Amino acid sequence: MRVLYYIYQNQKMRVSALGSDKNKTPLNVERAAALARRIMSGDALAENEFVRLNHSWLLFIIRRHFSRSCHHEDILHDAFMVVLGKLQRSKIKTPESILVYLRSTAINIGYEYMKKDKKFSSAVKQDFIDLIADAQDTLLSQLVWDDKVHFVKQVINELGQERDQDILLQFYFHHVSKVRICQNMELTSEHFDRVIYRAKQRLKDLINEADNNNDHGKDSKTNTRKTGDKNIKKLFQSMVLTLFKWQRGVA
Amino acid sequence: MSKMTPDEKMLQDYIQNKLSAEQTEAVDLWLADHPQALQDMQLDLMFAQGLEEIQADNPTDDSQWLHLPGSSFLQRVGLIAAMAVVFVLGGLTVHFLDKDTGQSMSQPDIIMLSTNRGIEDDVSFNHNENTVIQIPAGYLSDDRYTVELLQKSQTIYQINDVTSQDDLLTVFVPKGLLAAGRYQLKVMNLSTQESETFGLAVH
Repeated sequence: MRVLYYIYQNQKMRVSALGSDKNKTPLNVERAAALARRIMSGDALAENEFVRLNHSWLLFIIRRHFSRSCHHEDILHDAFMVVLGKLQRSKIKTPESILVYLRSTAINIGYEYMKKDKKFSSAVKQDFIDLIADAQDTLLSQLVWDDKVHFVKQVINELGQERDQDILLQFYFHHVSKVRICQNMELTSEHFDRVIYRAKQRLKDLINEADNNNDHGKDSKTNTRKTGDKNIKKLFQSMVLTLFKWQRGVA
Repeated sequence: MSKMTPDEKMLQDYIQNKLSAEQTEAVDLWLADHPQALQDMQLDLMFAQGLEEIQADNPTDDSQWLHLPGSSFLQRVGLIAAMAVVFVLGGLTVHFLDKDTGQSMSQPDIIMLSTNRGIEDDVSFNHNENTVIQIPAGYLSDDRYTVELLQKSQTIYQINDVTSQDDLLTVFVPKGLLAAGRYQLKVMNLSTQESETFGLAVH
């Protein structure tokens, strides 16, 4: 009972924290605008910081928007390269809206990927973005994201009660509203919050455990294979880009 | 830029893709300023997409309508036979329609427009066949739209009361309607009166 009460209080604090966010000064949007101005004035270091600041956010938007695509990282890379290129050439008139521009560029590129062959992959040299992205600490790395079914299955199995499993399925898969779920299953709002909170907390723990294992090389085989695949892909892309430049007489 | 603060209900609708394109953009931008909420949303997204994949791999009985419990073997065979007849007759009908009208009803060209594309980027296509134009609309939106095709500010073709299906507005443009040239496709949401214009270049 004590544990449940603790969870409930935590959830209440989180919900009230959402409401109090309005009193906080927006940080990332302003920082992004300041970085955009620095890039436009020729500060190359600001480019790294700009990518680092917005990497997780943009990747989340791409994953959410194009859930069935397997080109999330390609879209992300292309979007950053397009926006950074525009900033370097001072083609952005309103740097304060840089995140709006970054988001819509990513979505446009995502639609382009959808229109083109499924095997289409980024033609942009990606090493720069990869380097920065690898260095940053994100909750959901690509390795973890690709294994999401495994994590979600484990959480659902651990929930035990069939009713709790049903709550998750109704909310996340059938998109039934919280109010309707509570009515149909005769739950209180707090009970619903507790189930969702517990499930998310467990998912987070599993992800953190997996990340720690990866860090300690316990899953080194998978890591090596994935890194190898990535390197081959990079090498191939680099070759195509060089060939393209050579044909155009750039190189 | 992101002055709006979403409440709990709005965030739940965001997870469930029930917001309009404008509201979605507002929440997206709000998340840029709220890393903690973003992290929370990442877990929600993982659940939503993970469950979708799990369900796709293991469809439940209610999605396997051919295996409905209680239906006999003969009923199932009959259902499949009926489907085959409809399929074959449908194909023949399309063939005759094609001959009589000179308009092919099969495999129209499909063009997908992006709501974030500005008017300066025209979408080019050949209009030698019937053309289907698809425009992304608000998620699970019940709003009604008017779609207008214009050339030099003159309306060429207009369809009223279009509703979205699978988050897409679908407009059928019959073969021969558009001559080569530049056109604007204007989409107006009748509920919000917001409109968006796309450039089209017909070869």
